[in-house]
Amino acid sequence: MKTKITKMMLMVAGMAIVAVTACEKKKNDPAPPSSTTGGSTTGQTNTQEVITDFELHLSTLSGTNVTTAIYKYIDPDGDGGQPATFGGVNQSDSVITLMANKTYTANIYLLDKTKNPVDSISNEVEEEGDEHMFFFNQINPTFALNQWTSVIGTSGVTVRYNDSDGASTPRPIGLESTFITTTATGTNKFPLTIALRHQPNGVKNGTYAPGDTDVEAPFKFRVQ
Amino acid sequence: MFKFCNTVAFILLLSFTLQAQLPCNLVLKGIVNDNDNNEHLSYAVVTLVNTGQSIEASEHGNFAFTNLCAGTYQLLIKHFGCRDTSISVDLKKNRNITIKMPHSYFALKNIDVDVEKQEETTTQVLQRLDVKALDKTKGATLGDQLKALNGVTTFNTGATISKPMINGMQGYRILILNNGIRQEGQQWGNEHAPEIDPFIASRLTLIKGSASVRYGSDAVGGVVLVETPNLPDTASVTGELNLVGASNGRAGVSSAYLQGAFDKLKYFSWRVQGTLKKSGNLKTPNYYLKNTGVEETNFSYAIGYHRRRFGAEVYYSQFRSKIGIFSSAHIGNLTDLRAAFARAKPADSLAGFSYDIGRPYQNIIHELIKASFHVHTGLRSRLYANYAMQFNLRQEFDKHLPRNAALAALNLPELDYRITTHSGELLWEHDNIKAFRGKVGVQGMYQENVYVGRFFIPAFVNKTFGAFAMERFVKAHYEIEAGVRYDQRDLTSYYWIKNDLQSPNLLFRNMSYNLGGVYKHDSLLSITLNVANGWRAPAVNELYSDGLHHGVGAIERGDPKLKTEYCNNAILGIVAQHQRFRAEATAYGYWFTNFIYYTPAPRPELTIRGSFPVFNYVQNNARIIGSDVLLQYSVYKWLQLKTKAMWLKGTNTETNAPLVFMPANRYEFSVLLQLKATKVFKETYIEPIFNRVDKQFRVPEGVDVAPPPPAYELLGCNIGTTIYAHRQPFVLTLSVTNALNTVYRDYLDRFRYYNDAVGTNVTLRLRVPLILYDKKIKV
Repeated sequence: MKTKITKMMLMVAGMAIVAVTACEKKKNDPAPPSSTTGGSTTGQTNTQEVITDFELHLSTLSGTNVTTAIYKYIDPDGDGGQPATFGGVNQSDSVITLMANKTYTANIYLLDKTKNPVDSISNEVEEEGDEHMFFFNQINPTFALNQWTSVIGTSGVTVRYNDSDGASTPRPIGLESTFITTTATGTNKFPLTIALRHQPNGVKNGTYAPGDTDVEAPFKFRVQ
Repeated sequence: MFKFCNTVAFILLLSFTLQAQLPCNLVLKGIVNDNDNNEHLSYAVVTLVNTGQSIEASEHGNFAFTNLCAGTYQLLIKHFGCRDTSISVDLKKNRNITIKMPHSYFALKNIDVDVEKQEETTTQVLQRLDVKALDKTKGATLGDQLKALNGVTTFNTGATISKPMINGMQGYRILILNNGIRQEGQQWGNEHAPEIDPFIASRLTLIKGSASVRYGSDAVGGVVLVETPNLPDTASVTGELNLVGASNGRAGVSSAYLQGAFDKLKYFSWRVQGTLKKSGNLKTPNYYLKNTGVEETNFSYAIGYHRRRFGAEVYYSQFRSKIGIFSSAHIGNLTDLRAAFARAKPADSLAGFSYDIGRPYQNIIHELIKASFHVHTGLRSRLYANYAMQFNLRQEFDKHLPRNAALAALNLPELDYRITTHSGELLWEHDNIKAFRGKVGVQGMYQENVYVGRFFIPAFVNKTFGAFAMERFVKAHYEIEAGVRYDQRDLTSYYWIKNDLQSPNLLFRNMSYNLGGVYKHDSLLSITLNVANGWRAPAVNELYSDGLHHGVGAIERGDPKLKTEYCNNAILGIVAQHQRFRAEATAYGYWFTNFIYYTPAPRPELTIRGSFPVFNYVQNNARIIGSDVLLQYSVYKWLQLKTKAMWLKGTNTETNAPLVFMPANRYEFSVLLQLKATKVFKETYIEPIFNRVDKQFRVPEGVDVAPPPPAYELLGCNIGTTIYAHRQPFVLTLSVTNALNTVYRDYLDRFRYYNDAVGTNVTLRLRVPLILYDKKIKV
């Protein structure tokens, strides 16, 4: 009798121990993780990867000098929070100005400025080139004469991809490209939405459709 | 709750055959006495089992059934504190009988388990799903199980995440009581389903209409009670085994419980319970949905100690689930969303079947520890004290790992919320002091929410306190109930603006009231009317949420200036029964001042990921009115026809525009065929079901990113039987849903933007009640 009661007591005690130990360890500090130095309004922590800055560097020869114009699309807290804004060296709106009958070298940089030091996401995009591709106005580039090119509507501008993802069936990434302009468009502005598509697990096939959008920068342009 | 006939009563009703050839003007009168002291017992409920007719004895124990036909009648007498008593009466002429109820609870035994779980008796409209009704839906989510109740719909995020909606209200406006404890998780998200293992429930009860006085001022929409079985009171070991297999998703669920009371160690009783669930990719009529698997491991246990005058119980439950989110439906910007609408099939539709759950997925843990104690403070009153601690972890993993290899290696959730809730309740309850029954109580709660990872809603500390009193005046043919409640809520939120920690504190306090009445003309007609008001302080996400809600693919913005929401509610319920015909109807109206809801901003917002729709929390005056009707007709005792209908209309009364995300009108028609029992197969039935859901045409202009889907019609069927091998029953149920593999999308499924709803599903269930040992029965 006595041993039975002892057994039962042990069982009850055992269950109570399970009850206590099964509880998850929790953090009892109601204060949220601290804000970062990136000017975030929302207290992002460093374990989150965000893209804050999109930069398009357009270089061309004017005379004998190379001039570079930088166009930016900035979202200091990443997606959500504060809306993204345009900016750059030459202007503060979304309009890219190109000169007629010129060839521009275009480089795209993606930065995560919530990190210290600033993390260059474009390097990681290049490393994972077979999962990423930039598109211009959602146009699927055509492959001819060993080159991938997109013709931007009726603007007379052609974008030629200059890089490759190094996959067995190589396709471009779009971090480096060439913009070729023809005639001036006058005051007409054309949209130029540059999107980075994330196309992992072998779905990248050179078209826009598969995957998701990681970056979408809705610029406009004018050819003078 | 004896006044509202439950499903058992329906079935009993079926066994009633009219004996028209005999005179039907006999009277059966009686008086209910206490067997020990021959005192008259007030307000016993006397049921004529044959007809389902049920009346309440008077204060002095008298009752009378009139217009009875000659025959043998089975009488079931229930009285609080007494054992249910059943007697057989042979009625050839008018009779006057005396019923001696065995023992009041003090003398009955040394154990008072009978009163452990007080029936929720109110003047409100109640609906129940008992064991038999639950047999038809076991293995489904809690939300989908509740859908069997008229007036309940769900807000879904695919087929695996469903939040119950009562009368068009969900989230904060409805309460779920998990074994008597208010479920406290991350209710704010539409894709946050209740973290409860449905297998713990032996019964689900729905209280329609505002139940704010009893359960908290915010319970304006209704309350769902998830009720566990009572712990046993005799030395025994019993249990139940449930096995469920479903074709769609190739799902398997096994759940079992064992409970018992000790022979030697008197007063102690126990229960252990556990559930395992695994399902894989679901299939729509035309394609598989990649990454829609679910894994669940849940367990609970309870230990009870019951003496003559008091009882105590400790209950622990743990819910763990990993839910895959259909990868084509995870966050996309407006460009992606529009492309998704234009597609006939979602991008990831090429996938085949798999049990693998990859990103994106949710990882959820919910723990509950409850300690409850009660003591009899007199012959007819009890004092209850409860304490509960809940811990809820919600982790959401985005579709893609970070590109940075070092970050990716950590495989951290992008969203990680942890909420800890302590709650306590002190409740004193009395019955039949004269004709009054009532309760008074105080409730308190302390809650902390913290997060790591991405910001969406702030960390907060929430303290609430409430006190209430309600009394019911009970007469044989009518009841009147009135209640009053005071609540206060103190909310401190913590979030950063630049590098400054903000910690705004808000205090809300207010009263709520209810007044209800029931008129019963024996059990053939009962009319219930309840009016109540309630209020709800704005919740933390409504005040401060700010960011991209990845689960929804939209930017959500709270408004720190939101004011308290007030609600007036009236609900009318009618239950009428005439011979083979039964009707149940409810009509309700909710009138809100400062109704808080979220509505899209005029234009989407640009982010570096593209543009996203913006939803702002706003408040307006609003009105929700609706009605649920159930009609039932027994053509023969083996054939029953049933129709259910639900109508609802939500309106913003300031603009007269419809409210967004309200359930569409729906209808159900079913035929219940009961087959003759054989030696082996008993309680065999076949029940074809036809469902129709109308198109929701009451939608505000230009609010939703896609128009509401068209109406749809579904065919299904339940087949059930109980096989007896020796004395051991095996309850088998086969259910087919969407039998015709219809392609459809539901307005209240967020995944309707991306994919069709699931196709045909065949579910086979086996329930085995077990009696391993019972001192009273030799096994």
